Amino acid sequence: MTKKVLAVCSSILLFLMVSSGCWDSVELDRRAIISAAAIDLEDKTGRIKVTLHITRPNALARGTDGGGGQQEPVWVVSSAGYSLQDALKSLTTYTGRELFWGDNRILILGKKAAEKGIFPFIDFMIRDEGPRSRMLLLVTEGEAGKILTTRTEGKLERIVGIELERLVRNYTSASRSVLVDLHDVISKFSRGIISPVASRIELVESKMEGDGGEKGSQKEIRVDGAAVFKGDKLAGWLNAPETRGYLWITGDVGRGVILVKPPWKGGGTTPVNLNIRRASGIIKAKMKDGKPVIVIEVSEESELEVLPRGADLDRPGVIQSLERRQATVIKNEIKACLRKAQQEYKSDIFGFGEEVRRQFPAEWKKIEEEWGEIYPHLEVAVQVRAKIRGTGLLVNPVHPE
Amino acid sequence: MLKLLLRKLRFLNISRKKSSRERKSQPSMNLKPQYRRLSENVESNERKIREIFGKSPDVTIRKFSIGNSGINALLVHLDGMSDLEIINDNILRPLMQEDRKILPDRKNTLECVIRKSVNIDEVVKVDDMEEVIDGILMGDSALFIDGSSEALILNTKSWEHRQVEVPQTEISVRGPREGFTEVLRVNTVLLRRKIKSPDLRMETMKLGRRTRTNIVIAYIKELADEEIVEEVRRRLKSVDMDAVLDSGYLEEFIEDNPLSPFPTVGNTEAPDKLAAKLLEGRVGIFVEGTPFVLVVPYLFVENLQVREDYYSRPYFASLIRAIRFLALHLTILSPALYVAMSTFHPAIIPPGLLVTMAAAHEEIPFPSYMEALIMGVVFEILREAGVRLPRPVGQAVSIVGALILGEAATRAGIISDTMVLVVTLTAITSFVIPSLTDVSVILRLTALIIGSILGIFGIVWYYIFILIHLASLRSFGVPYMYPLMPFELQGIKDVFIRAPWWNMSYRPETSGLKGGRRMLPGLRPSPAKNK
Amino acid sequence: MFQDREKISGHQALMLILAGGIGNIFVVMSIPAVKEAGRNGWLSVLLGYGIAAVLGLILVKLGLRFPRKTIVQYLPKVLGTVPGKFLGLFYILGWWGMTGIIYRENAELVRFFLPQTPVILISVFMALLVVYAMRQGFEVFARTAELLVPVMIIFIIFGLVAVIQEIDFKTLLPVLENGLGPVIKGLQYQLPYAMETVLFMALWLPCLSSQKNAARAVALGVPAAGLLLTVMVAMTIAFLGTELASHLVYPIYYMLRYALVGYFLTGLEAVFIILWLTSSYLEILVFFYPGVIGLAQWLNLKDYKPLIMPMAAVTVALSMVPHNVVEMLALDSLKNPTILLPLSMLIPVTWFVAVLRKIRED
Repeated sequence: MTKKVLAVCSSILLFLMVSSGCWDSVELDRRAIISAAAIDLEDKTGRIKVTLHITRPNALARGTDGGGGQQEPVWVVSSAGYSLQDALKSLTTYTGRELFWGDNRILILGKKAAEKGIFPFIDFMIRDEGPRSRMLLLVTEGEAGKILTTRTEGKLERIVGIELERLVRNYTSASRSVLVDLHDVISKFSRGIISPVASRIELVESKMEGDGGEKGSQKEIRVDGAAVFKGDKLAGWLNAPETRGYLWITGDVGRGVILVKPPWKGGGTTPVNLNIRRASGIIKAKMKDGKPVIVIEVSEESELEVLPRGADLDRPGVIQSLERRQATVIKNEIKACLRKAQQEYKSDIFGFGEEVRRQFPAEWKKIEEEWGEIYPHLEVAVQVRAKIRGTGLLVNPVHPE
Repeated sequence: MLKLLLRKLRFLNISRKKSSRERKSQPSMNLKPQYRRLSENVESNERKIREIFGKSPDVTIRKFSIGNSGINALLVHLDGMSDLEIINDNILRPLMQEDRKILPDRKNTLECVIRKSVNIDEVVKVDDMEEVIDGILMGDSALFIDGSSEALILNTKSWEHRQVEVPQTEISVRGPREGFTEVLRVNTVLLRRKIKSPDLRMETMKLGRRTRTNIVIAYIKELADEEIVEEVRRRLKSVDMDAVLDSGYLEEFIEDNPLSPFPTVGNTEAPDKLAAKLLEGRVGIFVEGTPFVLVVPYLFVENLQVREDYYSRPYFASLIRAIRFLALHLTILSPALYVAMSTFHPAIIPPGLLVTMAAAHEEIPFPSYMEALIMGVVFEILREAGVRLPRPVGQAVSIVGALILGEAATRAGIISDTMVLVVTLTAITSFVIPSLTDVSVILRLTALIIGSILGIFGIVWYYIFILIHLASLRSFGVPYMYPLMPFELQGIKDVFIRAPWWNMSYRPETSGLKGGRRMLPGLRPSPAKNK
Repeated sequence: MFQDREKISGHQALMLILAGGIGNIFVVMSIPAVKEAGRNGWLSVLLGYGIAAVLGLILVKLGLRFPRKTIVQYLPKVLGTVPGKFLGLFYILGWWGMTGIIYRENAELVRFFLPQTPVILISVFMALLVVYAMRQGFEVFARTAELLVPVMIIFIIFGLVAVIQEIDFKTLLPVLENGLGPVIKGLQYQLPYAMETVLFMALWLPCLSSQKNAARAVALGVPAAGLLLTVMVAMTIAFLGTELASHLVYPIYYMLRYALVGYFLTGLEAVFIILWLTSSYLEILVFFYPGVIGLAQWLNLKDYKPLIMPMAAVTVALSMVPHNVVEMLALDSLKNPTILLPLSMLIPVTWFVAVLRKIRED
């Protein structure tokens, strides 16, 4: 009996397979590999506009005789719709290939779209099985699509998406921007009290002189500063020093340069360059008279790099005073950032609320409701311990008298 | 599904099975009864022999009289299978020059001849023509003497054969070089020289109605499980066919699960390997006329073990073990994984690689599973061509195949570069484990088909399916996947790694393998202590 | 009866318990305990497995009273024929329903990778595996578990190590902000999950070659599975936040997809698919076996093999009952308090009655 059942079952299965072929198999040359995406909000119609970079594998093929190198490595397409999905679906009508999100590395949001709220885009990216949550989120002050249409070929990497990704991922080398991917954003949404930030991307004119002496200008992409969200809406921007202020607090500063006015005379206008070696930041919550107080402890170590004339490190106190000045610079950056976030944007991007809840769960329940009002006036104490650990291979500078 | 197939085939086999049940324990030549009885008359015996052998030119029949007694005698042997020198010097000369009065009593002629005349080490008295013929066919000489209804079988075996050479299939850099030959006796000697113990038992039997092939079952009495030995005897006895030309014939008859693609009977050409197996409680089956000795029970992990592992130092041996394990997976799964990943789950492919793969596949006319199938089949053709042709030509074939075909196919845009890479990888890795080459071809193709229909899901499904199948296999009652399934710690020391010898102090132990200590405990060497 | 022929070793018993225990987390899609206990959901898991271990030991005690009988066989002896038979039937039917759910849970994720392939086909394929393994006998299942469970554990640890650098464990604090209440509430979901493996054991206990190994396997296996799952759930909560952890359909899948190994391999999807299918195979068998064996024993059949095919067909058909993922997830959480929880409570009650009435097999 069971033999017959088995036989029937397996023959049906076999027939199904043979007749319908492979349901889900899509060859690689039938897929449009997206390498970068931009989302804008159209002013007049209020529609969502998507701009995509689609990789042309042929143009990237190595060692073929076809001379594919002449082709641009990506194809820029854009389309608009009443929602992100709508726009994407109408895109497929002129790509002829299935959109493949898995290799997409960056998502650039235009200012308008970000101000209206990024939640629907994030929701799509997390819900759909294609896109990855490791995709980087960038916000631009102008139109996001314009960045992708202006730049279709990278300078060092041929694909712009890869170049931009490396650019952002290397943020710690200067600590002037932040690294935020979709997972950071959605996990902050999930944790509730904390608001996300994102890297800021912009197009800048860079003038250069050609061979013939004629002057030309070229648009360059720059990732500098950060965008601040309140909830899922864009609230404002942080410039580079303020962004470093943010990074000091979260403890994400990697390397970077701190410029300090020399504490001795005769140095001219040359500042002392301090190269950041190591930094960490801790947020602590305290209770003072039933009110939460935040203490930020930042400790930093750096190395002297450029010393102006007249430096004499052997003199007692010189290094100490450099350290003090360094601490002041850091403190100022933190304060500038705090001022913007607390007073101007009223957005808890640091997770102060979370820290209070973590350490004082009972008190937190009382103030949870009015955290929005408490936060802008929250007392924040900043303690910086800045150290100079090394001077490179030289102690004092050697210069002609 | 496999089981279903199995049943279908079994059904076809029923008629054959029934008839095989009513057979005798030992196959015989089925001589007619009137031939079987020996006569006292030499002439009549000669006539019978001539009738049995027909006009075969190699049958030499020599009639002579013993000494001056006038008793007629008859010596029969096969030309080329017997040593003529021995026949002339040790049989004919003493008998013909016999001048003593040794034959007073005709009834005792044979006894006297055995005792005093023939200088041959092994003499057997037989009274059945069947045994006589058997002896002649083995290269012995048969001596008939008038007045006696018995014949003497004299050991004069000697024939041309290959010398002991380096085994072709199991080449190793370090370790004994000698390999088995086609001669049964030489083979058993090679084994006996490795294990000088009376516990090494050998039992003979004859299989094949026409070939009358000698079979020797070898085992070590204390170490082999008696039930397994009995099972081997039982299964071998039940093989009743007309010819056994190679141990491969027997292999298919004594397997536990004959429809499984996996081999559950091992074979070896190297006496040292056979000795090592016997010392772990296994049973060897020598078959006359082939250098390949069967070893049962055979476990899956033995495919991954090479005799040299045990002769070289453990670190490198362990590394190579791991690589063999990896190679086994690569050769089976890589085309399937490539197709599944590129057509179903490109998200799994690392980002940089994806674009390269996509670029390689642009403008290729075939879907990738077709590419893989074509290349897979082409590779098998090339391999077969390379193996069968004489060696110098074979190399030319592989050069043409590998270089020109691969290069031309990618240049013409028929096959993508990456696919050629994958197939090449498959090919190279398939040579790493020779004993599983045939299995891996089958598994590779089926995995490819299922992977191109159901993607990674299909491949993992298939993998688990194969695992269940492997778990259900037994070789002479021993679980095939031992010591992985069922798990055994002592055994695992010789699977993915090869533990140092002093650490493997126990033999493998499971149902069917007796286990036990093979060395004293605490043999790990340490520097001499300073006083 | 037929179980006398199939013998498994102590090591295999341990692996079976782990298979039932660890297979869970994949088959459990969202983590239900998080819904109740929030950030402290992992405590519910730990506690659940702790209790399950104790109940498992009680079951072993009970099994020692009836060394050659399964729960379906000794229930009528202990509780009286009619209630015993009735509870036995409840036990069997419970497994039937749950097998359907597991089939569907597996298929729903595979559908993610194969959106066009019919869902039923995926279940049929899984059923083929299960039928094949079952027909080869329980020993073969135990052997495959012996190989697959360690592989699974290695893969899980590999995956967890790959994501650990992305995780800020501070988000798990404060522990027990709302007291034990929510944790206990979360237990009503988590304890039944932990009990699956123990209840499964109730049917293979007589197969164990040496009954003495049973207690050791339980005492080792259930807490080990619990510990691994606790770490996993804690990492999930810390990685995703409570909100996302309870709303994602496959939190672990999300987590492994995010992982980055050596700046080269993004997304351990392949690892996840392997894990998912092996755990599905083990888990479906864990649920399927008691349904088939139980029924055979309940009906006093001589052999269970003829039941395998029809039962597989029934369970696959049952898997098609929920219309969508949401309904299926609802059914999944419904099965815990309605089927598994009463069954878990049955074990100490039966033991208590058996001790009181001094019933044991001769």
